[in-house]
Amino acid sequence: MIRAIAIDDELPALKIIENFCGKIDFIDLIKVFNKPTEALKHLRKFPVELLFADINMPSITGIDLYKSITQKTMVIFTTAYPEYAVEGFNVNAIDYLLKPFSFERFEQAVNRAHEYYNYQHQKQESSSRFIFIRADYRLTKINIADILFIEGLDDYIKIHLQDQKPIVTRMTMKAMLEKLPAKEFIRVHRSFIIPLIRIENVSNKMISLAGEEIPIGISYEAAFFKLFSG
Amino acid sequence: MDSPGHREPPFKPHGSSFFFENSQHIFLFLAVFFFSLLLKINNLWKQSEKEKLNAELSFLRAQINPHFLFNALNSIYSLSLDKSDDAPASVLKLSAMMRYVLNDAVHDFVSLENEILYVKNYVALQQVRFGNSMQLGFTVNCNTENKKIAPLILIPFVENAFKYGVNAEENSKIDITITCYEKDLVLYVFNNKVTIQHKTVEQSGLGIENTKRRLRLLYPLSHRISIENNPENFSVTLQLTLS
Repeated sequence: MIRAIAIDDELPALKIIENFCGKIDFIDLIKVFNKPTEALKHLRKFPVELLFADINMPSITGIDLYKSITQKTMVIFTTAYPEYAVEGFNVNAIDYLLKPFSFERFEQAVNRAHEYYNYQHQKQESSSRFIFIRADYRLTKINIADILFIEGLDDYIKIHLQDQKPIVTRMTMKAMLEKLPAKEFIRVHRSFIIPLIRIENVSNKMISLAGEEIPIGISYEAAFFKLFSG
Repeated sequence: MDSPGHREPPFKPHGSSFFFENSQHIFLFLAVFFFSLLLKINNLWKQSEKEKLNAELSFLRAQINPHFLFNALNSIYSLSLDKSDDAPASVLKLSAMMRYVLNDAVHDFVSLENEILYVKNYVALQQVRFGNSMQLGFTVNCNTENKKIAPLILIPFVENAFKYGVNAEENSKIDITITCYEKDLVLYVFNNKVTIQHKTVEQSGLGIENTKRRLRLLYPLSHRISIENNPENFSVTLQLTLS
C-alpha cells in the first residue's frame, strides 16, 4: 500500500484526486490539503510515500514545497499550466498531470509510482538481507549477496565469501540450507551449496563458479537439472 | 562584416589605373552592401509583422484568460465526476462567458446587462474554484434597462482582485459592488493583499493599466477612477457616465 496526500489550493481539484484514488487499490489517500503549510506540518509527523502537488499555489509553488521536504517521497505534479512541465521534471517527479486529466492518464501516473515504489522496495530488501552465523564464539553477520559457495567438511561448514576470509562454523549442511532463501541457493553435492546467481557455466557435471570447479553429486543431479529444464 | 575592399592597404598611391584596378573590389563591396541592406529590410518587415501578430494575440488573450479557462474547466470536470447538480449550471456560465467574448465583445458598445452578467458568471466560477478559501462579498444593484457600455471594461478590475487577493492560508477578503444611478455606474473592488508566488500569477493580457488607457479613449470626459494602494489592501472605485 502506498500512502499518499494531495495538495492543491483549489477544492474541486482535490475532489478529483480523491475520486480517482478511490478507484486505485494500492493507494491509500490519507488526507488532502488546500493549505500547503498545513500539509508540510502534517508531513513532518506522518511521512507518506507519495505526494500529489499542484504547482501553482499562492503561498508556495508545488515544486518548492517538494524541494523543502527532506524525507524520501515520490511526487506527481498537477497543473493547468503546461509551461511548468520542464521544471517539474527537473526535480525528479514521477509524472506530471495537465488539468483536467482523465482517469486513464491518472492511472498511468500512479502505476509509474507503483513500479518505482516496488523497485525501491526490492532494492532495499536485498541490501538488508543478512544471516547470522555463530563462529569463533561470536555471532557473525553475513550478507547473503556476498556468499560464493558453502563447503561441507565433516562436522563443519566453510562459507566462502567475496573479498573476505571464509568463515568456518560448526553446523550441518541441512541447517545451513534452511537459513538461506530457498529460491536462490541449491545443494548440488553432499559437500556443496551454491547460490544460483553465481553459476558461470555447467559442463560435464561440473559447475564453474567464482574461479572454482564444483562437482554435482549423483543424488542431487536430478533436482539441479530440473531447475534448468523449467 | 568585412567587405573585400577593406583588405586594401589604406595609403595606396592613386595612379590613373586606380579605378580600373579596384573596380572589381568596389563592385564586390557594393554587392555585399546592398545584400545586407536587403536582409535588414526583410528583418524589419518580419519584425513588424510579428509585432502586429503579438498585439492581436495579446488582445485575444486579454478576453478570456487561458489559465482561468482551464481551471474553470477543471472545476466543472470535478463537479461532473461527483455527479454534482451544480455541474450543468457551471457549464452554462462558462459557455455564456465565451459567447459574450466571441459575439458581443467585438462590438464597440454592448448592453450593460450582458457586461454585468459576464462579471457575475466570472465571480460564480471563481467561487466554485475557491469556495470558503475567501470571504467574498458581491453585490449588484443596477437597473440595466437600455444602458450600454464598452465591453470588458469592468472585468479587469474584478480579475485583479482574484489575482492578488486569494490565498487559503490568509485572510482573503474580496468585496465587489456594482451600483447604478440614473446615468452613472460605480464599480468598487476591494481586496486584501495576500502572499502570491510571482511566477504563478495568472497572466491576463489586459491589466488595469491597459484598461485605464481604454477608458481615456472611450470615456474621455465621463469617467473617474481612484485607486487606493496600501501595503495591506488594494481598492479601486470606477465611476462611469453611461451613454
